[in-house]
Amino acid sequence: MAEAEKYEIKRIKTYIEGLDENMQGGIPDGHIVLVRGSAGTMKSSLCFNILYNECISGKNGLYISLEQSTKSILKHIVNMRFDMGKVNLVEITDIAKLSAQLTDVKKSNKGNLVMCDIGAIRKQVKGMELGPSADWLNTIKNIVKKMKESGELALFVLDSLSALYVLSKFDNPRASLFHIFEYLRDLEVTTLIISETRPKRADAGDSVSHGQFDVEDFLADGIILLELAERQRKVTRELSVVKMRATNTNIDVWTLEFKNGKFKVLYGGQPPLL
Amino acid sequence: MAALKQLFKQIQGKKSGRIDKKWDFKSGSQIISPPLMDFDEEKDVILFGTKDGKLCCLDSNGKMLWKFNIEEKQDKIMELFEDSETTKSITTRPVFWDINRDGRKEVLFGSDSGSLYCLNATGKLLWSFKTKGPIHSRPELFVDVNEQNIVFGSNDGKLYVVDEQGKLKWHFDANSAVESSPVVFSDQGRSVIVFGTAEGDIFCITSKGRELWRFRAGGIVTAKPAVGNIYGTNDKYIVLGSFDKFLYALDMNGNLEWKYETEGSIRSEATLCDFNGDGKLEIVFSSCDNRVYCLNCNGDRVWSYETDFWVVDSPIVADIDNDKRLEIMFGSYDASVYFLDSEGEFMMNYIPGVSNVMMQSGHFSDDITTDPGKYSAKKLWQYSLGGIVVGGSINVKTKELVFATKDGSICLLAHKKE
Repeated sequence: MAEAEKYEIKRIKTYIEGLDENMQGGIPDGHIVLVRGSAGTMKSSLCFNILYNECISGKNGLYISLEQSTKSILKHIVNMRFDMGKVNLVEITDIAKLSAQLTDVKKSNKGNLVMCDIGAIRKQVKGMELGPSADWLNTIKNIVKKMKESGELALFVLDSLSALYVLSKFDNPRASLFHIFEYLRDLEVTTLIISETRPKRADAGDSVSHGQFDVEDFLADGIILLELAERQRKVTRELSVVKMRATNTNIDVWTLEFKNGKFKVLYGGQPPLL
Repeated sequence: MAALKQLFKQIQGKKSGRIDKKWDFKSGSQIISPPLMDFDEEKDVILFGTKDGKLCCLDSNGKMLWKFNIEEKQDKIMELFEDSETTKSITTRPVFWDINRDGRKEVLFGSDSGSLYCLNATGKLLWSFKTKGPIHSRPELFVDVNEQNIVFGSNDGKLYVVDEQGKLKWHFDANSAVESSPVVFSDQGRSVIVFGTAEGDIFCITSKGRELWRFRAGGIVTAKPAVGNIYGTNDKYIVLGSFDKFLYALDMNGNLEWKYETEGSIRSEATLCDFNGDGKLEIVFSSCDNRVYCLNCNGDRVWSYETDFWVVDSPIVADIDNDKRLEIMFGSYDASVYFLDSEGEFMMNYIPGVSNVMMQSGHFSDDITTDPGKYSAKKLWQYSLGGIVVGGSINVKTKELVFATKDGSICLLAHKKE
């Protein structure tokens, strides 16, 4: 194999107009990227947008939601004019049917968008005696693994890391996080992990950590930061690619817009027109 | 010429020979527990467990004799909540003993599945006993009133005693995971069981499950206690290490005799042996500060040897080259197996009667009371295995050693005369 070919990086587009061309074409395949922002910054929608468009191109994607029900997410998504008829949507809300549903994924000739509602599964197992080593983190790992075994998994979205901290028994959070990231890296699945931040405060200073345990930034291959900026009572959404390994990325702060079913970034590095 | 060379080395006190690898076996699965080399009906066998729940048996040439797969029927829903990579892992060295006194040995081992398994010598399941937590404790056998019993701990916080058919006789609530392998010995005419817990308690209980005493160490105890007459008297002492980096020596009433501090967790059993023939026992043990230590019976360091990474399994003590001196063998996470001289070597700091002429300061009395040197570890051989060495075992007849590496290799090493 020629040297150049050996090191060629395949990328997954973000499908955000104006951003991919500022990121050498998109997110490197296999990267684990944190998508961070406070409430209302469209983190879930942005991640779903990437997943949806990958599935339209015939690939398989997995969205695991720990907090919001898939029903609620889908209502929101349809309202944003994503046409779910263009993909094979598989909703997993019953753990007993999980294996069968994932097996059916192989039979579809469209890209498969699998949405797993952990909230619904939690209701299902409420009251059941789980073993001493039972952990919701294992559930997520096993679902990703089963999905990978069912066919090529192009993209995995975990919504959200903050909810995972609450659900899982993290006796040693830093070690547990290291193992989660290592597990995902070994699976070689491009992963977007949604993570909550508090709204930026004027007195916060320059130093920002992108993780609850001060280790997530180092473990992640990339960080996409979403923020709300208020100027003269007008609030705009802003996006910046804080970090992206193996990518010559423009780290300017962009204004993020969503119009007519598409995301777009504007005014990178400049004050937006008011 | 070779014989002359060997004779010359012997006169000089140097070791001859080298370490050779006879064979290696690729299991195809990760190995996270040490192997066992033993014999059955005059045939040598090697037993080891894997991370994905297989118990394998090899012959002395490294050929697979049989393999047992742990199959636990589990609810599909429950299966989703377990870590599929480790749910059946075998994390301790198996036991090979004639448990049911039928003249053939059986294999006993625990697993992360929570069950203790008993197989016959051909790998067929005889019985299993289920607990509510992973089993990381190596079972121990003892006879009580002519009945053979098996004692082991579970991460569910209990120490269990079952009979030779796997039926529960009693359990002891330690209220904390019991990963430590128990030791059973006789004290004042009765059998007692000593073991450690995740909370750091070291319990001593009777063979009927009544607590006699407990000692609180500063960290998790996973090591099996070693018991011996360390001072060469009739009094026994219990020696074991903890994750708090200390090695403890306790008397038979659970009182602290002494403790020695290392710089890393102590995870496995210490070996007690009289290296220098003075009637007292030296103590050799490994620590996750990358070192193996040799202490005297008073808890003073005789020597220590540092590798490049953790040493987790217990050192093996044996005379592998038949020179009537004991060697110490152990594997390190730095991928090497080390062979050390049991007595170390005395390194001179200065030559008495000569060096003090050169000294410009200090009392003359210092010269005659200060030791002219100290003991240091003496490495004899080192053999690289190419992977994290999880642990080893010795064939007491042939002095061959078997070691396992995390990537799933089993290899047989032996000393070869030049």
